[in-house]
Amino acid sequence: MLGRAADNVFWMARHVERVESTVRLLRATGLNALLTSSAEGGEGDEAIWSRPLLLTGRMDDFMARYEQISSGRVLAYMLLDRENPASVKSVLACARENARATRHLLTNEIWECLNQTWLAIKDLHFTTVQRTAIDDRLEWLTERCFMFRGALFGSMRRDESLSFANIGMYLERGDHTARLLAGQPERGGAGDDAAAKMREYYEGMALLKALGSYRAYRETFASNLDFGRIAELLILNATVPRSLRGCIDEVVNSLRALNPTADSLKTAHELQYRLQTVQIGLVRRVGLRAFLLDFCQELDEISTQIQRDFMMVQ
Amino acid sequence: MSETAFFDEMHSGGGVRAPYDRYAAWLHSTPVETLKQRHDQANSLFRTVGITFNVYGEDGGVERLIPFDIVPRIISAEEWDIVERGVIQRVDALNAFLHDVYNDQEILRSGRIPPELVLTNDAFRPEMLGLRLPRSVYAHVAGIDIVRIDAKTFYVLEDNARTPSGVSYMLENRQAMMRLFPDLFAAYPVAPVSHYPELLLDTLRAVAPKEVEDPTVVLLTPGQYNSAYFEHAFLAQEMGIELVEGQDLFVDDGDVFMRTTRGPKRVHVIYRRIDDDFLDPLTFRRDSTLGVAGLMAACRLGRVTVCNAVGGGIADDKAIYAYMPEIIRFYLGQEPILKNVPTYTLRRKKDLDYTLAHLPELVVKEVHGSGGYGMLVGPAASKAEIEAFRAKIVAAPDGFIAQPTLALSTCPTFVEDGIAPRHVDLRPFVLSGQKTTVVPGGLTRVAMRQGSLVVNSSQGGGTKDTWVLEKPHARPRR
Amino acid sequence: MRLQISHETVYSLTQAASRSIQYLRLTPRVDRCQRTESWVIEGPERLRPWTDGYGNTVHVASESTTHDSLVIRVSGVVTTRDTAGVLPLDDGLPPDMFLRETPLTAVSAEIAGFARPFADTRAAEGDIAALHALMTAQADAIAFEAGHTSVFTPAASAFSTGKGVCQDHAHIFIAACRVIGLPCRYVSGYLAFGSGDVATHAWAEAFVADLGWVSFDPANRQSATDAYVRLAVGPDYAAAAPVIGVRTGGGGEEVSVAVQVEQVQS
Repeated sequence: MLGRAADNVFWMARHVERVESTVRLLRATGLNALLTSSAEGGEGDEAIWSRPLLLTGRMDDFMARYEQISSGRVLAYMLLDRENPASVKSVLACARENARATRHLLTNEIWECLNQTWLAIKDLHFTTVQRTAIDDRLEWLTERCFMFRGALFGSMRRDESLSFANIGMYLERGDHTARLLAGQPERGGAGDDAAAKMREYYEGMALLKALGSYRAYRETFASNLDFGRIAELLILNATVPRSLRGCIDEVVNSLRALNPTADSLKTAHELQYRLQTVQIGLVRRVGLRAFLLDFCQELDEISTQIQRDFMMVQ
Repeated sequence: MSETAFFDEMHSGGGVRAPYDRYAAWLHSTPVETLKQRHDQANSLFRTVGITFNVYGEDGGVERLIPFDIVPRIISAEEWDIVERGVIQRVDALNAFLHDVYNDQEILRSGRIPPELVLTNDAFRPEMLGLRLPRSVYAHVAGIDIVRIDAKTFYVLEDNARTPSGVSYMLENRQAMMRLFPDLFAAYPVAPVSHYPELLLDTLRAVAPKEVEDPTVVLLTPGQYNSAYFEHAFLAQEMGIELVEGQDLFVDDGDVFMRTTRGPKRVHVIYRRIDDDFLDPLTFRRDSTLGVAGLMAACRLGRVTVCNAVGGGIADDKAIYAYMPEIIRFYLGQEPILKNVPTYTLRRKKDLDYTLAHLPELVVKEVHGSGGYGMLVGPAASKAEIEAFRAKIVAAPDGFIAQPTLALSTCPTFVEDGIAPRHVDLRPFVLSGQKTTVVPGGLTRVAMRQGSLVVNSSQGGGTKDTWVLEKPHARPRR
Repeated sequence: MRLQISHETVYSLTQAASRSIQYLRLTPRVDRCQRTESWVIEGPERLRPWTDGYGNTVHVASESTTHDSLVIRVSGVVTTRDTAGVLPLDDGLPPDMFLRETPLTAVSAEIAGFARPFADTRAAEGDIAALHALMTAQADAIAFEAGHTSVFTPAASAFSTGKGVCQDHAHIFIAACRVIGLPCRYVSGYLAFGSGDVATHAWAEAFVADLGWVSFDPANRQSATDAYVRLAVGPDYAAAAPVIGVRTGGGGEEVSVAVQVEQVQS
């Protein structure tokens, strides 16, 4: 396939994944705010709602235009603000542009799924969406992302296009999981403080829900929510679809199918090996955040190498 | 309103014309609300599929739907027979003409066409002189715009031998109609059109450079902001070929390659949907970023076939149009099956004088204009508009032709207050490769405004599905 | 006249380019006024000859590996013949098609005003007289001076500047001929006894009925002699340019040209 087409398919999947991550993040933030902001010693609404802005690197732009953090403003900004390149609307617009550029390679199911999603959201403005309906919108968006993946895996031929879509999706997903984990405040043990324990429980739950891994945690560990275990689950557990290990495994598989001698595959392999061998306790000793940010950098490197290996034919 | 002045496709002489008999009965028994419902359904269908065209302007371009009318235009097998034979004859003559003017120029020496009309014409491309093309075909895809004025008379209004568009609407309109009105298709023997992409691919493969056994065909688009991008993507998808932009191609050692994920891949046939001027910055416009540097070399070396060939514009030039009957006689030795609209060439003094004296009755077109821009429809124009246009003509008469206003037939059309007659034309798409073929049907364009004779989509025209009825005996389904 | 020609062009790029493609119209035409004894073009990674619509031999030159310079070396021997500046219609190019306007030869009001009087000369004294008068008047009006125009300067702006080089002279002459109704075309080639840039030259040929293509070199106030070698014809520089190309990457460029056209004994 054309290098440019591969690039567009890669980014189409990546952008849709980004939409889903953003939506999940906003839903989890809402949940977190609902459960913990009023609790004693909680972070407060402002701190909780600043999280999505910090994670997406949009704090400065947000403050410049919205001035004050509140749930409504952050939702308006992150969902439907076309001037925010990280908003769901903007990212969806990009995904649709990518799809349009490769319309001829996509099945009608994929195109129509994306196009309909876009048509439903393109003229939507925050002021016209009822406050109570926001949760429904978010849920609907999550469903559309699932539908997109269903269309992708259910209708596309098992060929290059699908591999590039796969890689785009899992690189984005791994990056998001790593950043979300890295963005967690450093914690000491909760000790016996009942309120702190309660808070850790709710925050942990919000984090797991944001990554769709709450059930996975419950099924894996017969214990209370504990941040150490959450990190272990989301970093090392290959069976969890949003874990770093799960993502890098998929990237390696797809790259191998594309070209077993590509430079990008070598880098991905090394990263996979690192996750296979690392011990979470040791990582925590030297700092989880540094480990995660380094992981993100490696993903960026793989992304760049994929560009060179497949998309920038001279 | 009066329906008497124009020939109507459905009603004539107070009765229903034969091809419409069952349809008319259905239409009259169907409540307007149902029609409205189907109409809305059609719109949402088209939006979902993304059959839009891009309009430039505020907000960096908006995607619009071309109005689709749910009332089909129905053509009997006998009527289609005339149209089919007529357009094939016409396109065969066009291709023979193109081959001649770029090689031996017999027609110019014969005096049938004033040589300067060709040689000094901007649409004539000396870059093509002396080049032999596979099967001597230049206009691989041609769209012939036809209007009808009475039961038997069809006129060709315009030939399109460059990069005619609209075929995706022919195909998608049929898809939509089959979904909206399955019962009607069960009752009517409508000839299928959906094999067009396959015929197109056959055509393109048939003109690949000689030595190539399994040619790689690509569709070259200006990109997704082009107004016809949907059609480009649609055709590429249907044919299963790559949709490329200029930046995806390069020329090395006289061969054309595309940049794929597995390295350069040789390309043999380019179905291009960009204009001549942008094809090769080393030959045509230097500032073009849409084309491929070196393409003309590859083309003249016979390493790649560009479809339609460069320079086809001389065949659909409005100044040449007037000579089409002569061209058909000269190359085919036949009388034209379809009529030519009498045309006044304003570079001729006599024609100019006549035209200036009869502006309110005439249609005046720019020789190089297209898409319904830059034209005067005398009977529909205000006095001021006519005077403004008169000044333009006097300033540069060479740039214009004039034709009598034709009484374009009307076809019942669903409009806001129910069903009303609107003027229509018909663009069948003719393919020339191994042989010249046309799928039974085409794009029926309809002027949505009451009384308007301009059917171009850029001027608010809509489209209809075109049903060609099969002869009772033969019914090969694809 | 037997002429030995060597012509080297070097493009030094400020950054490496990954791909280049060029059209080289650097092969003498097959015409009645000249015969090629030997001719070699070298330098580019790949060279493939083809013939354009005007009958010029063109090489498509391509580089597909990273490079920071482009070198084109041309050398050979051509024997020329003085035809009193006149060539018959052997080349099969219908003269009328050179009446078409191109962006480089579009007529401006100024050029029209300048050329119009020669329509009267043409009516009174014939084509040849009008063309010679036009050439002389143009040579008087436009100073031969480098540095004011580029190869892609349209005739109209060169004319209003009042200064230009041989390409500009040829373009203006072509535009002026159109004003008085005579087809005229651009010729690119070599000129013996010039040195450096002057040796790569451009002039014009106007079509005179019953005679053929008659050459006019307003920059030198003369018709072509056996000191002229014809490389390519076309409606303007863009179609007959000795070298025209594009590349991927490469940044800016510095061009150095070395040309020698010398008479040699047979």
